[in-house]
Amino acid sequence: MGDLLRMALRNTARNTRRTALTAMTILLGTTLLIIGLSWLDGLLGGLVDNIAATAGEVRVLKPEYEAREELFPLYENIPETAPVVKAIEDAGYDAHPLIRVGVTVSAGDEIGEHFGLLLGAERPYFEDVMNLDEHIIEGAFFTPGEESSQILLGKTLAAEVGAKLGEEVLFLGQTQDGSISPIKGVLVGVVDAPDALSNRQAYASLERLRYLTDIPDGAIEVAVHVGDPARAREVAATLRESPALKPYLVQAWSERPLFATISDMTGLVYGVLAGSIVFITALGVLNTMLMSVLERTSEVGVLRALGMGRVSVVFLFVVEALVIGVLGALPGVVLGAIVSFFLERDGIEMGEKISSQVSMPISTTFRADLSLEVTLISFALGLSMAALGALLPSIRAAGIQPVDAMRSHR
Amino acid sequence: MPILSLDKVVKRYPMGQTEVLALKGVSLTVESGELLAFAGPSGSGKTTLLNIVGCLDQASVGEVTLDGQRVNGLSAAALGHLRAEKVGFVFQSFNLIPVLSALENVELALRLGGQPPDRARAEQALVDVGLADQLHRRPNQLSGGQQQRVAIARALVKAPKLVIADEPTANLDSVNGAAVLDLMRKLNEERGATFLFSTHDNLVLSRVNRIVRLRDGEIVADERVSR
Repeated sequence: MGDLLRMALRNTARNTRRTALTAMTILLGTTLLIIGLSWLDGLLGGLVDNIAATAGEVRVLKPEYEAREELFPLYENIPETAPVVKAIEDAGYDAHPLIRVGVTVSAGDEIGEHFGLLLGAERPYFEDVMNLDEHIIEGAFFTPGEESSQILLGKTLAAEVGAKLGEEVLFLGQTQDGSISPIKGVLVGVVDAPDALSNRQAYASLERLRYLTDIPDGAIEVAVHVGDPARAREVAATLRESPALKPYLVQAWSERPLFATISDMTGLVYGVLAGSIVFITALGVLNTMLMSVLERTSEVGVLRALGMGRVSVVFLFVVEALVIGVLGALPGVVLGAIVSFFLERDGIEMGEKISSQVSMPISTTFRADLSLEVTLISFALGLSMAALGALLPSIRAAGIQPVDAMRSHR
Repeated sequence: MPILSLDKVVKRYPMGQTEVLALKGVSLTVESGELLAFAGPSGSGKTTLLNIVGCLDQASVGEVTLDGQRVNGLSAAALGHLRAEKVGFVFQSFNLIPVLSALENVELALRLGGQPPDRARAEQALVDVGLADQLHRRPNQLSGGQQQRVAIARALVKAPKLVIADEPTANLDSVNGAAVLDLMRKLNEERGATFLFSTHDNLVLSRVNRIVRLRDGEIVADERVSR
């Protein structure tokens, strides 16, 4: 084993230019991997954070509402939120009743042509969960005690409607039984939230939304603020045990069909991205390792003649490739981590247009999320590229018959 | 007791659509401790014969027995073990492993021969061939004659029953060639190892005890020489 390791190590220094080129290929592959994977993690993580900020990591609602959610079936509401809120708070979590409806929006008394979402919640939800008070770009946050007459608009919706601060904004929605229902509110602030969906929404007090929808003591859903998206399933499972919540669907963010699909898709993209980079890089390694094997045919023949087994020959070339793999993957990880660090810190502004094409709270700034896990995966895949690329040439080398090697040498 | 016996050995090689008959029924017995040379022009079958007796290749027809063990029909792995244990090789182009020092080359042969690591024994093998001061040099830092001495040390360190040397002087000048041959002859006398050469070099022929002449894959003469 010691001889083989020594030979493998020294073989990497035999053709320094080729070794450097192979290591560069692996470096590039590892760099792309770490950037790509941390980028994907950042996208998914950002989405989860935004979900948590807009709908809670866990939500409680009627299963019938969830089944046709895209149609806003307001009649499938939670008629009494008080026992639901109490059950959640008794379990140790913050609960926030929410009503979200589709409305037309206009400044003044004219019925508007602009469609948007109107979200009704109590002040702590807007303040502590969505942090809207930190994202006001014009005007101010709700005035304490006057929330019921005030509204906030997301910046995209505000621009579309053309509403000015202090102006009355008219929302035309419907009650839970389908009747047309209007409410008005004074625009006190414009919000620039981190996700495009929130910027296309309007915000009003829960009391006003209860009036609009004619759900006097209820809500459409109750958002549960857990504080850690990773614990959402565990918290949901605990809450399901509460008798007050038995009639309702208690759903972690990751159990929502849309987001489960996104999570699966992200996993698929993760795999395809990693697989493609590993495959292409391994092809580069394969090319150079094949050259090495061809050049060393007679040497392998001598080793085989002296009694070296096939497995040892494979080991010799794979270890050599792994050494080159380490030489490439280590700086690759460092370079990728540096780029990912800046992508995490500064992000890339994608603008409202891209992120507003889908009805999900996608961030307007795409950020990477560099983690130790991604770093280790990228390094391990960097080594896999080397090992994979070396496998075929090594097997070919192991198949060299000593007598053929000697003949080729003459 | 014969160390090697061949009985009507035939070797065929495919060449395109046809076959080349490299050996045409060679029969031969070699006693332990002999210093024997296969002589003949290019294409006479010398190297093919050495490959077969060195377990690098298998006969198409006929029987080969090495140190009492029948070689025919052995698997590639079994042939590898037999080769590692009983046969030492000295190649025309030395064929040392370039990334290993002289000492490491010899040690490697010892270990591949299934013997425990023994640095002192490897060093002694190099001392025996006159390279006591070149132990840690790599092949590219040694002259051709020195490299062939390392190859001899590598072949002999595991104390094989049979040493096969294919044109061992072909890449050496006459002075170095003579020195290497004298060394092999000395080791043959001291250790009793059997040496088989393939050659058309008169320098080699002048130092062996037996010359087997081949032509077109057949033995045409088998001469014993007293020295």
